[in-house]
Amino acid sequence: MSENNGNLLTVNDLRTYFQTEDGTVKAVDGVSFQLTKGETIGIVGESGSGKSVANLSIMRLIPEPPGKIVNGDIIFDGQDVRKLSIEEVRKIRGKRIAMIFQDPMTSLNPFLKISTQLMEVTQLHLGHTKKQAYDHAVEMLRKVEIPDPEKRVDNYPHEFSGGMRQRVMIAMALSCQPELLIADEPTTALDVTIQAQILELIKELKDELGTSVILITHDLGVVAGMTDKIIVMYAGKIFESAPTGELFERPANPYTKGLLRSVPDPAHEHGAPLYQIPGLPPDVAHLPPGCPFAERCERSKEICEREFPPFVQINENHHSLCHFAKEVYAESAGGGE
Amino acid sequence: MLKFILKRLLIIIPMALLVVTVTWGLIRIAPGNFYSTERKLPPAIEENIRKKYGLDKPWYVQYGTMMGNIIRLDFGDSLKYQGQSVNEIIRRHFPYSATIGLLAYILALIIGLFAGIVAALKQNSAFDYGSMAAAMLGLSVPNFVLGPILVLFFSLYLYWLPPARWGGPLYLIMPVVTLAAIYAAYIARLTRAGMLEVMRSDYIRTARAKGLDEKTVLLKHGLRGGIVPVVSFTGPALASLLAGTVVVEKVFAIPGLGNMFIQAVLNRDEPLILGIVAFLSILIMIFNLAVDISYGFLDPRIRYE
Repeated sequence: MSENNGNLLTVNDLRTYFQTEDGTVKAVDGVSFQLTKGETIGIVGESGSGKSVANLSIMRLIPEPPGKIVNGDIIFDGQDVRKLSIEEVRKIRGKRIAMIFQDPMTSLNPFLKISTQLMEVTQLHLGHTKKQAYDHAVEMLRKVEIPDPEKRVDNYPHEFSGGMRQRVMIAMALSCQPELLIADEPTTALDVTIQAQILELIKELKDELGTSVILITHDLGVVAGMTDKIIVMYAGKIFESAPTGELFERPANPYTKGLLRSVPDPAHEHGAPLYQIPGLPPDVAHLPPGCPFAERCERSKEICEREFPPFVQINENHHSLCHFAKEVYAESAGGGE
Repeated sequence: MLKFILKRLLIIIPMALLVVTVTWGLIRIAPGNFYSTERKLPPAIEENIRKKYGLDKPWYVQYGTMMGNIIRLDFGDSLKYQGQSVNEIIRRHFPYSATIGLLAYILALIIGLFAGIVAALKQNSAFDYGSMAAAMLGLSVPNFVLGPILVLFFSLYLYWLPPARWGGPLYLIMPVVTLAAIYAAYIARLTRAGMLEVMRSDYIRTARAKGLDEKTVLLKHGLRGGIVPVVSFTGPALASLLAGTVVVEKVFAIPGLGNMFIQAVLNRDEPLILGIVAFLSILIMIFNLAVDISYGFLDPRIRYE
């Protein structure tokens, strides 16, 4: 297959819409990004910003109806996923692109043993026999550091704790050594100490296996230490994309700045109220003509309400969707917080 | 598990005795006797009858004697069918009810599960609307209407099927269909609702994300969760189907237990009523136990103490 400039995944102007009684919900509206082999990107945004839908679209897992990918190219290793038949997509799912979901409590089938759920992946994609698949399942559980894997493999999901279940999910996702792992809020449902362990585990395994990772989260703290670049999404659109270090040091979008200010800082804000971006995310079924963030934005001007903002290129890898992107970028260069 | 089953089996005994007691009380409260006819009996004869059946003794003595016999599973002789024991009557008539009941149950399960699963998979399709409309019809048409309509059409108009009574396999078709209709409709609706709910759950999305085909997703991952509500319905349903359904047996003149039960009530045949009530209550309790046990096989999260 062709080596698409070293890109493993290229998403170009992806638009996924849902038909509801309330009108067309543009959950993902013109999202583009690239991912090279071994790279990790973070997709950050509030609930409902379209980050999960974008990634379910990549795997063609959007329930249709009501959802539909109406436009865009999803080029995975030279093939356009949108043009493949569903049988060909199934050969990619689980084998070349694997997914970890938010809630490990509900994402594992409560009626089936862990072994069954792990084995079916490798039996399907790697042609394992029962025996091979079983041994492989034990091996994967050992890899995700589940104690006593020979015994635990025959347990049911309800016999595991939340963190252990997410480890099982990771073991399942990595069973076939996928080239791309999509982790959709993998730590949101877990408590803080477990979060750190799970992130560390994903990081180790990705380095070991050379997997590319898309890490979806609403928590900037989660992506900070793990990703090469970050995409900030809002109302189905990319608001800012930049290499991780630059995004944290010199954000060029007021929304990103708001998100960064919302991260609690244990050193500074003792006793002070936690910052939050005022207002709520907009109703994506009825977006105003201007910038979707305008009414929550501190520096909103008259033009923001009237005109949709341009996607400004700050430098080679840094883009921001804002009428005042350059100004915001310049301000960030001064004393940031 | 074994302890659980044993405990539940033991509970059946006091429960059945309680049911018998309440039934006995109700029979006694109701006016009339098994020997009362339109003409009033001469007092001397009435007194003789009362003496013969022990009705002259105080009620607690009568209750005690009855309970004593029932505990030994001796329900005595029928008052109406002279010389026939209750046990014998049940043994003779139950197979008719059980045959059409079991066949109707199997038919209802096959039709209901199939229609429900396909309707859920092809939600909002022509099949979905069609089968759910048929199910609605099945639920709303009472079997005392459906039965005669079938007889009119297939027996009196087409001359295909015998209209009533008990004979070869052909005689079974209409009673079984009449009996199965409402259950099939109910099972179809339960299955559809259960499957729709399960197919929306997160673990089904996980299964699809693994690259499994729809058939595997449905049968291996979806079905078990989807049919849990069906199982809780079909257990008691089987009990009431086997026990005979009065209306269908009446419509098709089948000499089953349901028909017998109505006769016993009309005749005030106390031993026969008590015998059938005890038999049915034990049957229902055993099927409920079977349902509870099968939950354990269906859902590993359920454990028995």
